[in-house]
Amino acid sequence: MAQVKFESVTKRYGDVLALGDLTLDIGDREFLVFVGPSGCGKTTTLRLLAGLETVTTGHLYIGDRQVNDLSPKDRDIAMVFQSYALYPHLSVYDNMAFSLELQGLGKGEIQQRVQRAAQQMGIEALLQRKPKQLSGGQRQRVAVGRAIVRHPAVFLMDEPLSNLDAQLRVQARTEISRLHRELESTVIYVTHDQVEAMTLGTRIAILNQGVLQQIATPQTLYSAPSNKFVAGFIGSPAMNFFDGALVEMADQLWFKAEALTLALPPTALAQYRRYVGQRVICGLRPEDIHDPRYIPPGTVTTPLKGIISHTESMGHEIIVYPTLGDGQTYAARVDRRSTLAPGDSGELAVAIAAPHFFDPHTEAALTTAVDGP
Amino acid sequence: MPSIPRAPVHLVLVSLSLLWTMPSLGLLVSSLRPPEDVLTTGWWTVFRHPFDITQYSLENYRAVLGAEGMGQALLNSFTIAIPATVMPIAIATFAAYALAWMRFPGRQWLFMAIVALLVVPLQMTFIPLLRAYRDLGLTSTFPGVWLAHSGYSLPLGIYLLRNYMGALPRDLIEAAAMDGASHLQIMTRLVVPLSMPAIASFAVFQFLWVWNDLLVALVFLGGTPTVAPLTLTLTNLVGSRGQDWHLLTAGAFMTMVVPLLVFFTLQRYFVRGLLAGSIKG
Repeated sequence: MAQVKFESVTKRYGDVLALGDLTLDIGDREFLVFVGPSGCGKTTTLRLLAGLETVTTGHLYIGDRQVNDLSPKDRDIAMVFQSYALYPHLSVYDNMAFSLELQGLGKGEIQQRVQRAAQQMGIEALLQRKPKQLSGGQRQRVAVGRAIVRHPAVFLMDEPLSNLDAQLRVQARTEISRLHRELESTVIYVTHDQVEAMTLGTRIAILNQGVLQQIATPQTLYSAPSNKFVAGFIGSPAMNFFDGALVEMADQLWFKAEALTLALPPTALAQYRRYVGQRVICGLRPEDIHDPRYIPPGTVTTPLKGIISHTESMGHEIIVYPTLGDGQTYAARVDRRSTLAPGDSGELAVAIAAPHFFDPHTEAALTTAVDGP
Repeated sequence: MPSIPRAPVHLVLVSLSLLWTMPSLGLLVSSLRPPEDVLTTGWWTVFRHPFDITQYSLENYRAVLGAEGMGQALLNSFTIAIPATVMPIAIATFAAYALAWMRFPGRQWLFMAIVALLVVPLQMTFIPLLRAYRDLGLTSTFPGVWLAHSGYSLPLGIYLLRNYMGALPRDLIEAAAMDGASHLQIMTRLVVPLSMPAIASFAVFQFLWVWNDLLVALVFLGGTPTVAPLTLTLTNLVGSRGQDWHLLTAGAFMTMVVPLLVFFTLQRYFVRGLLAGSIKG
């Protein structure tokens, strides 16, 4: 019932383009996450949908109604604000009942719905308290409770977890995920935190400077980023990029850069034949660079020489930062048993099946002969 | 900060307070003494036997309230001050909400024009207003003086309230809009309750200002005794009964007692009002 559709939606503030020509279909019951660096237009997108900003050009649909000119209250949506925006002079109960009272519902029904929502959020014991008597985590629950009590067609959430400490955030994330399954409604969620995005979203839309970069499932974003921005944005530490060229030698495709010479798997030649001889950017994820002593079985690798500049032990893994032949420092995620230490002129191993290639001018991912035109 | 010894500071503060209280105390005591005593001995002589009830009487108050017309004047003062406080608050609250939270063209210009009105001295407005009042038949009427007081206080009221309301978090207003509230509902159910500190301090200021006002009352009510407030009647009393200190002190204390009560009951709003806009509460 509640698909959301953006049709060439553009938002300008004077001369500043906040959102450029966004076309997007969000399915019923989908959990769509908008993610991007600050100022990328993700919050603007949410506010346009909420009706707190007006669309400059384009069309916006919720369900099958065009909502461009509808006021927020007529759009059948509820929003959870980053600051929670709880009404400070009202008790938790009255905060949750506020919208229902405005709808003109009877006292009995209001009570019933508030109780039900409070139960779902586990805040029954707090109903008589004022917001300032609540902890951060409790406020967050009340804010979500205030949204779900209305049974809206679409939930909008604007970084609802960013004011929580790390432990609570993980817990609240699980809870939001559970709520989404229970409520069976469409959720549109804005965050700058890629972990939240990857764990919550059924699909993720990545925005940069007001332009949609890619919209896909978390797995696709990780394994097949459509451009260099997406590749660099998803994954932590970020993907390593090497400027170089593709060359063909002895019936095999090679990527050659100052810091790296990489023999590509036999299938790559057919896929990338038309780029042979051209300059490209090669992207390697830190997790595809290994300590040679601990290469996962079955991985074909090629060696890589560098001097270890520093290391970060995370317990379950070690992040190693080698400085390579071009003087740049890259990142590698190696096995926790690795003994590589700063100052070592160590050897690393690159999994040869893993590289991503991008056009150095457009920064778009190179299309392979198999899937491209 | 260098620490100053406490005892001397307290001593100075207490003596200053006593010194400042002295005139009011003298006024109160004198107003309670019989006329012969007032004319023959100083008010401080009562402290020889402070608990001797017989040296006090309420006769002066009875005289002032009855024969001298202060009773009617007290009523008039309330009749003037209460609507002249409620009206500008009501108007300023609506205006401040609109200027803070409604989008319409020229909003900033309108607000600047209102703030600019703060510099207009009210004396400048007397002649044109009086002419208008004469044509409208508003001279020497309560509505006339209500309107005058409202008009004079609106620039400050709108300015104070708009700044206070404008400092409320935007998210709150937007959350209410998404919850389905119209502008009127956002104002009455959210913004006004949250702006109560500012509204209350403005109310206290305005009430005291109107209560103590002589000039505006004199100009717009003229000498008509049926509508004259306490301040006017008291001034007339000084003219007609200049030697009768027992009556003057009783009249003066009656005029004072309402502002004192207002001040003591609403003190915290008064102090907060002085700080309005300087710190976020």
